[in-house]
Amino acid sequence: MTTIDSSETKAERGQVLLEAKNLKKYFPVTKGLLISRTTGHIKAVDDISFALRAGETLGVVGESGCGKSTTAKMMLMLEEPTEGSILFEGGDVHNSAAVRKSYRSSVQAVFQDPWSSLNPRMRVKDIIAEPMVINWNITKAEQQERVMKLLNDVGLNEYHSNLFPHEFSGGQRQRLAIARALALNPRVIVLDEPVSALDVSIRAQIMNLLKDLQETYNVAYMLIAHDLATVRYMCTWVAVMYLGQIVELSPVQELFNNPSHPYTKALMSAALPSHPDTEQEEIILQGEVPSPLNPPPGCYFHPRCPAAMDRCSVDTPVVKEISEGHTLTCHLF
Amino acid sequence: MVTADTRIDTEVVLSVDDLRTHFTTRWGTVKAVDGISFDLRRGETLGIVGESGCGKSVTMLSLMRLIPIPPGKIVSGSIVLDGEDIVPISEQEMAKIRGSKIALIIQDPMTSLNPVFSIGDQVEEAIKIHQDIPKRSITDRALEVLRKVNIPAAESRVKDYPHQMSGGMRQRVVGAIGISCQPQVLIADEPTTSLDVTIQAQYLKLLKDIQKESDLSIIFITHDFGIVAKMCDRVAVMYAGRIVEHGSVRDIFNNPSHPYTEALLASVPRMDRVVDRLYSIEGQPPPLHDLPVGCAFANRCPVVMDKCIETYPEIKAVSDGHTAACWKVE
Repeated sequence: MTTIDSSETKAERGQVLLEAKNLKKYFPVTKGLLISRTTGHIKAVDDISFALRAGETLGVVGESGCGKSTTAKMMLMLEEPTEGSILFEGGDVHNSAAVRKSYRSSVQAVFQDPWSSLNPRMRVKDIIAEPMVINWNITKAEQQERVMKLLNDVGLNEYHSNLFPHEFSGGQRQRLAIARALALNPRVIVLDEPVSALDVSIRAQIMNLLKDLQETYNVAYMLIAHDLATVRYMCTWVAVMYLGQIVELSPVQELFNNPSHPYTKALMSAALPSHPDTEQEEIILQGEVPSPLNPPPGCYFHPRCPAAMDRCSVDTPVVKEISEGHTLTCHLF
Repeated sequence: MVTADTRIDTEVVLSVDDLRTHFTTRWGTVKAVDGISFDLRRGETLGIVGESGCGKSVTMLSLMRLIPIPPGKIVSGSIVLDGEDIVPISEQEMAKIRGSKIALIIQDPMTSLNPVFSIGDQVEEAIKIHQDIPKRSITDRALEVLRKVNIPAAESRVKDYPHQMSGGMRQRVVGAIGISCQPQVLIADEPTTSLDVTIQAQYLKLLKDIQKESDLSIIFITHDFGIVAKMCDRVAVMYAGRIVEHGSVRDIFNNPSHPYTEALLASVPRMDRVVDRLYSIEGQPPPLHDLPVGCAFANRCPVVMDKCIETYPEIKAVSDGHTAACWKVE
């Protein structure tokens, strides 16, 4: 547990590190103050399965309320799944205390807003060293040495270690958050919209940094995003979520060359063009995402789907594989 | 799509000349906007693009005359709206113009609507202030604009409060208030950043439809080149309080002439093709209270020359209607 050098635990690129199986998260809705009773459930995440692989990035895209943040929270063990399991290197994290302990330090997070994710009263060296203080039994000198190495890794200098977070710009703060996430040699980092709070010219710096670090440390990323262009640049795999379900999961090239689910197509047509002469299919979805408290029967997307058929409002579609690694949930296939 | 070239004959509704808005702070004078000029023609969409702190929001506030005085002040320049310079006029006169000739849609629909008034009341308020018409017609007019922004079942929703509506619907209400008095110029300050992509697509289409219908001129303040590509006829790229490049949307995308524009375009990931590595602009913009004497982009510029550090480059024409402030342009 106390190793700084993690080279012996490094996995092969592409090896499955973490598997989510049939994850569900239902939040009960209660009525009444004294005698409260459950009147229904918000199905924030409804039966999703995916895998994270060493050195690869899984992008999760979808609109607000689709369950991508709840999924991220379950991966970080901040929420307990209602059903389903998370397997880390073969062991179920919710059943075995030993697996859970190594999981906690192997899965780290970088959040969207670097203004609220760093403690304003702590110095940079203490922020980055904190995970090591808690998890590793190493001396102060060893900690400081590692802090300096991490600062260099993320493109900052040693003199930054004595400063406070308010003395940094947004991009630099996100670098600090990344350094803290890397402190324990994690196997998986959950990135929750890591660049959307940053300026355009700074976004490219952070995205390139994340890619370089992945190359060096062979860490797996789970990237929560809403921007498809960012996903195309960063990811190896993409999961498109709608109302708590993964409607399409595919390798990134395949998804962009051959988007198949009507919702994926609509998302792509709604994305902003990269050039004024870009020809885009005009699919303007009608209405808004239905309430997850009372999702429509059959396929959850059918009330907004331009290709809806009669059976879509009755039968729930099942997951089908249409090509190697490319799965989707739709009656059209 | 209407291009800048076909709009060349239509009249200029808003003309900004050498506008300078400075703020006095304890660090010195912050030159948030420092000498910008542009024209806006009828029915045209101008995009003002730049990163945070480049002065795009202060430009917007100056056009609306909403700069807090002190610490801010429009120190020089003119803003000619519909033939009248609105810089020297009194606050009372400006209050009549604001909302009726020039209107604003701001970023966050959660905070721009008053939570204790129904949306009907809030749309009516704007009409009541600017138009001397009977109560009955005010209500009708409010309903009409709410229908125009595609609020479903507008008759029953006028009594709703902002919290009863989704983010997309709220932003539509803000849009309805913006167009309620048929302004000539509508300033949209990042109107879709808080919306989801599919809702954003609906909203942008709606704005385009309204623009076509009433020949409205729109200024889009944004940091997103995607919005520029989709919505704008012409683009002004701002950096450190000045316009560094200005031209039609195709000029900017096909032939970016300022190194900053070029770098910005290269640093945005693309949906339509695989990019191996994004170009990243190193460093940060300079602080606005301590601008260098030369070009403000010089310290980050990949093609910097000695001249750039010594003197600020003049604005030069690249081609017809396309200008850039760079020594590289001959």
